[in-house]
Amino acid sequence: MRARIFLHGAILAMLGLGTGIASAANTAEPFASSGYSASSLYDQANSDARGGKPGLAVLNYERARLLAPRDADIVANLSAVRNLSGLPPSGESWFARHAKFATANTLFRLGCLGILIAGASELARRIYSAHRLGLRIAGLAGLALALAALCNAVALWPEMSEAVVIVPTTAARLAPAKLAEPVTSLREGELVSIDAERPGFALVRAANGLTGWVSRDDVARVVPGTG
Amino acid sequence: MILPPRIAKSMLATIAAMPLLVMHASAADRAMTEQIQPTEIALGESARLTITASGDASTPIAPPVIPGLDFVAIGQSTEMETINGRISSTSSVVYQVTPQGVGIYTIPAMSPSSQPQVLRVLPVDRGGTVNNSASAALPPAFAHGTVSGPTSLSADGAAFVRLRLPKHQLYVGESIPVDIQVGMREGLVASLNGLPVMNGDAFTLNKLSAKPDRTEEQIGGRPFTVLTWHSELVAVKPGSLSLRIETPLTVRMQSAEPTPQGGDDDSALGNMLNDPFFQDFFGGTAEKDVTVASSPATFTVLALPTQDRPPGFNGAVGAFKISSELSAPTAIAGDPLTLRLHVTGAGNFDRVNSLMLGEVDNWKTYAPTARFTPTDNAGFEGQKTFEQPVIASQAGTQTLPGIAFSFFDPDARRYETLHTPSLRVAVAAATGGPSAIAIARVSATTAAPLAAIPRAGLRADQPVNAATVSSLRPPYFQLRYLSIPSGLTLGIAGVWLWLRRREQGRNDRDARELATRTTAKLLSQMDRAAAAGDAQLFFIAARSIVQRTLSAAWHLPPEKLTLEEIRLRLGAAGQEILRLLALADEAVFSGCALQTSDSQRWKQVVHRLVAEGTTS
Repeated sequence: MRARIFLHGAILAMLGLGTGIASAANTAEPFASSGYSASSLYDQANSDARGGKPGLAVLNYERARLLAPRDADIVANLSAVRNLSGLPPSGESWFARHAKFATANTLFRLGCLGILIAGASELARRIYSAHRLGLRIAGLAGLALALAALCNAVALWPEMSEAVVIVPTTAARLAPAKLAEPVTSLREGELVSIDAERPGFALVRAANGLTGWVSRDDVARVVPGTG
Repeated sequence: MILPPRIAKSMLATIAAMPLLVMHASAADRAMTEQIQPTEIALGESARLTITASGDASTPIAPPVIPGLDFVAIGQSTEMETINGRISSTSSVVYQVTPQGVGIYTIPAMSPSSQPQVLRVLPVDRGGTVNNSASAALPPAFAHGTVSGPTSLSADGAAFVRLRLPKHQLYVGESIPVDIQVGMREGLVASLNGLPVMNGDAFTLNKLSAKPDRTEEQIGGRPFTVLTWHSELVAVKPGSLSLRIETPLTVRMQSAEPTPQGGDDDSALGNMLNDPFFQDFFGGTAEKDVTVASSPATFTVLALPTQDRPPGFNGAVGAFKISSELSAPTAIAGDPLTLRLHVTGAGNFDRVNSLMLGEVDNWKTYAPTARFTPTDNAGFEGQKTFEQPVIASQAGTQTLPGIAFSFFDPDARRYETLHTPSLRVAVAAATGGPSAIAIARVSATTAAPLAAIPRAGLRADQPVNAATVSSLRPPYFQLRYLSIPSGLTLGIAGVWLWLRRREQGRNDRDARELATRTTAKLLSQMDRAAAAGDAQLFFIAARSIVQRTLSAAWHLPPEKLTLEEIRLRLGAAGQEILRLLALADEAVFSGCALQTSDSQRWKQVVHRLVAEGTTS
């Protein structure tokens, strides 16, 4: 009896703690003028696109897409800007498309909730002999939620190193030096991944697989501060 | 005979100099020519400067001192020929010339018969190609003013540093144009080792250009090459302050080697060896790093008045004018316009800031950007332009309010606040889709018609959502949020382990109670068999008790308990147990009789074993 009371208390405490902190991930963000929202990033990208700055437009659309991956306006305008700039459409794998069925913050909270449900079901199964089937189903549902969050994290991981070329053209060079031999040329708005960084330079990998060093000022990370 | 080192050195020098002595005696005037190849290079490349001296060999070959160019000697050659008894020599030194910045460098003529050489250094663009478009040079910020203090030469007369200032009274934060001049005597100064720097922390000086103006000046009848940097000086604290400018140089000095003793100073050989040619040949001159400082300039720096300071004052000090304009004369609801604020004049443009417009009804405003275009080469005068994207959210006649800009005018000694006029814009409704034609007009006195921005077939803007996040990084990759699922998992795992251990403890306790009950039952059975004289039942019960007790004590399953195991674990003390087990087997198979004395003895053995096994 005492164990049951203790267990109930522990589960309730973890449930409250988990959901409270997880919801704080969204609701208690210290928003000031420096905060990000999908709509403001989208509007800024529209402004950049109309102002003839496709690199900044693609950058802000990609950032907006992080916060609202299913927003049709963002996807349509990003596609339009890439098309107008002569860039190939951004190809996303089947896995990435489906793993981003909701925002990262939502899936993160669902994942925490799933861990709680799966854990509580397993603990309850050790105590109660009744409702074993129901508890097992609840545990599997919790695991499914946690798995969805894990897939979302895996799909988002490559985007942590993604960057956009924000100048009309930049040369990717063999070495991190201004006079090094150019390997290839990158166009404004092109999406690259940053493999390494040196003072003033970044080693980028283009969509065609070519790598080279570009001036750090010529590219901007989709997720700021991940370098 | 061993000669003293000084005499031996002199003799050696004399022998080595004999051919040159003849040449020196017969040589006439020495002509110098220089040639640079190629004359046009890209930044990062090097050119070769060949200086050739013929005739009088007494003139040493030294590279010119040109700020922004590095000279490194990479080769030297000397040719001598005799024609009709007349000996002539030609010496050449090849220098690698490496520029530090783009621009046009002039290497002055080294003799009247030679021509100055010009080296063009071109920038390298992003694609790695040389950019031939030369940028137009800006005029100097400051061409007049007073020299601060007398021009004081360095101790060896090789160089000087001086300041030219327009005034000596200024306000904190006010910037004034300043000329920094460094004069150097050709041949005496080997190199300029760095840009002029201030001593003290009461002022800040804008970054000096690597390419100063170059002029010639006569001081005391001696020619000096004067390099002039145009910059901005800003006082950072009030009070009576002084300022000196210092420049590191390398000067060539005659070596302090004592001349030979015994009245040889005026000998022909001594005079010849004191000649600069031989001084150079034998290392007679030495280079020394020195720091040349200017005369101190004194300033009276006043604090900015706190009275009547406008709330929007950001520290701008100078004389400014402002104007504003919109990027397009027409607008459609949802289309962006660019609002520009131009601040022109002279002053500390780094403190000229404007937040432009904040929240305006029926308009969506964005963060402004700023761009400064100097009209002098010190950045003292120019125009700073602020650009702010604005979007009208509703059709109709909309008004953009005027923008205020405050600064302190040091000449008038008061704060000024300027306002731009408000701009009225007629905005058309966005009903025609991407191809809609703008039909609105902008009416304002300062608005200049510029090209309209196309809509580019984009979907319309969205209303700004108040829900924001402070970071774009997903919570999975933020340590503070990653700790939530980790903590939950650990907590659940901890509770699960605690429950499992609790269950295990309960199972162990149940097993122990069962074993105790079974042993007690078997003991009772054994006692009854002893009383009845049933040897088979007695020994079966005794063996069962022994097996259970030992297996429980040794944490072994009863079936794993063998005679060998008992012998190994108990040794001599186990002989009775082994005998009991052997009798048990014997009783089971042969059915031997049980004597009373035997049963008492084996009962004691079994009871003792149970007691010891329970306590252990």
